[in-house]
Amino acid sequence: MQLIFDTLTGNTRRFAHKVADLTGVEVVALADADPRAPYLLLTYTFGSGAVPESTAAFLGQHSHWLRGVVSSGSYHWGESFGRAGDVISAQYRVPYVARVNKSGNAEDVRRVADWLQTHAANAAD
Amino acid sequence: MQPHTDPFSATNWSEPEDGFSTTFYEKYTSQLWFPEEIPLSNDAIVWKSLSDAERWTYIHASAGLNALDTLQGEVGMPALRHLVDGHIRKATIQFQGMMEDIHAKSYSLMNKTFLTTSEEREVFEWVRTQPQLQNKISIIMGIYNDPDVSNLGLWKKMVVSCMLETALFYSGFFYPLYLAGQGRMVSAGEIFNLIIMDEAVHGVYVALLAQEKFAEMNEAEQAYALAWYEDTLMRLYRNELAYTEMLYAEVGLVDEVKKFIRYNFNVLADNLGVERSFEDEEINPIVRNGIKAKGTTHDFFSAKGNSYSKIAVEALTEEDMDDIWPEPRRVTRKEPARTPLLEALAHD
Ligand SMILES: Cc1cc2nc3c(=O)[nH]c(=O)nc-3n(C[C@H](O)[C@H](O)[C@H](O)COP(=O)(O)O)c2cc1C
Ligand SMILES: [Fe+2]
Ligand SMILES: [Fe+2]
Repeated sequence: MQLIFDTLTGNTRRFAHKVADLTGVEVVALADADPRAPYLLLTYTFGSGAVPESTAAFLGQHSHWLRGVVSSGSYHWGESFGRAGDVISAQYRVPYVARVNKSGNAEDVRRVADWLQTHAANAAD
Repeated sequence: MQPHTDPFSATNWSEPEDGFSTTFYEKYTSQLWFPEEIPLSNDAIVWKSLSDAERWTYIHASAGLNALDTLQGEVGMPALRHLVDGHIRKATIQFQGMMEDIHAKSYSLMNKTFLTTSEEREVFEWVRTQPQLQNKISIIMGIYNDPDVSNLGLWKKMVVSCMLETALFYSGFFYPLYLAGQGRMVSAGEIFNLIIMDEAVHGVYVALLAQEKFAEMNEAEQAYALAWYEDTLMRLYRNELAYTEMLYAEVGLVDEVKKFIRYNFNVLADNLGVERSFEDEEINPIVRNGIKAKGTTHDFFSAKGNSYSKIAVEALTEEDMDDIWPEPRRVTRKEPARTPLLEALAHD
């Protein structure tokens, strides 16, 4: 499993690294990624509840190994908070692992780490 | 003003100065709104049902915000616009400044709707004499007016702008969100939500410019900058605690507001890409509900803010022209229906 992140202002990158620090899972920037194995996508929400164009273009090519999604956002958007994750989750039928405010807190990191662990265990079955 | 020596250039939107400013500019223009579009008449009735303490907190919280938006529109944004490089960046910040003036007018319209003239005067006088509010303004104003325009100096100005919009406004935003979250004062709540949306984007944009300035500093400057950040933040935070105690004691929400302020200082840190200053905490669920309860009262505008956006403009096609002016190419075309204005012109 890899963590592949997209970011504009750095929050998603910082969150991905916090998860990696706890789990040891490899982190790759979306621009450098060419996944050949399962990965968790970490992105952010833009526009009004939209998936960033860079993320959408990436998924257009690399959705095969997508196993789950995390979206950063900001709580100010209310109903649209982190909606990019809902959109991706519905479109590609993968779990929305965590909706994260900005660069996330310790609980968010733990939730994603737990999911990675469960996923790895299931994959080994 | 020095006479400029380089030839003056025009704004080239085809070759943007960076990868993001155009997006922010377009976001601002597409989410432009005016307070007159949101009728407050229902809230004027609800207002009468609030207790004295509730009314006091609500209106003084708003009046404090009015002063801070006035500061941003009149001092903060002009200072930043003057100092940043690039026509598109300057245009984006200038637009931001205009939004601040619109915010200030919203608060003033609320006063006008809910208060008597003498109450209104009292509130404006309160702004001029409230010690923590004036202290907050003078700390921020001092940085805006600081003659240091080095990378560090400019970074500080950007940072205090973000501190204001991403954290210090929230002692004021708490109460209207708290009431809206209970279904009270929901139209004014809508205005607050539109303002919060604007500020959320402003806070990201100016913080991005600040991140860029920070990256241009050497290590010693960065270390100094971060120490200054902690110090200034703590000064403003302590002031904010005192302001909150004064503003919220009567309605019994002091601790909840303090929590919300710390939460938003952490958002500020994330935007700037620096360490968070406070422990993780949750947002009060009623306030969260107040942020979610958008677009519920005025369906016509429900596309603006997180859900309210100016009707997207599409280029007119030939068919559209035919719709507007039936058979436009015929020489003797049907007269358009005359409006009173056309009528008056025709008789001139
Ligand atoms: C123009 C703009 C639009 C945004 N729209 C949304 C949104 O619809 N929903 C949301 O949750 N966050 C929204 N955000 C907030 C970002 O998703 C948030 O700041 C996120 O942490 C950015 O991630 P990054 O730092 O990895 O780029 C928006 C931010 C900007 C600047
Ligand atoms: Fe404002
Ligand atoms: Fe602002």
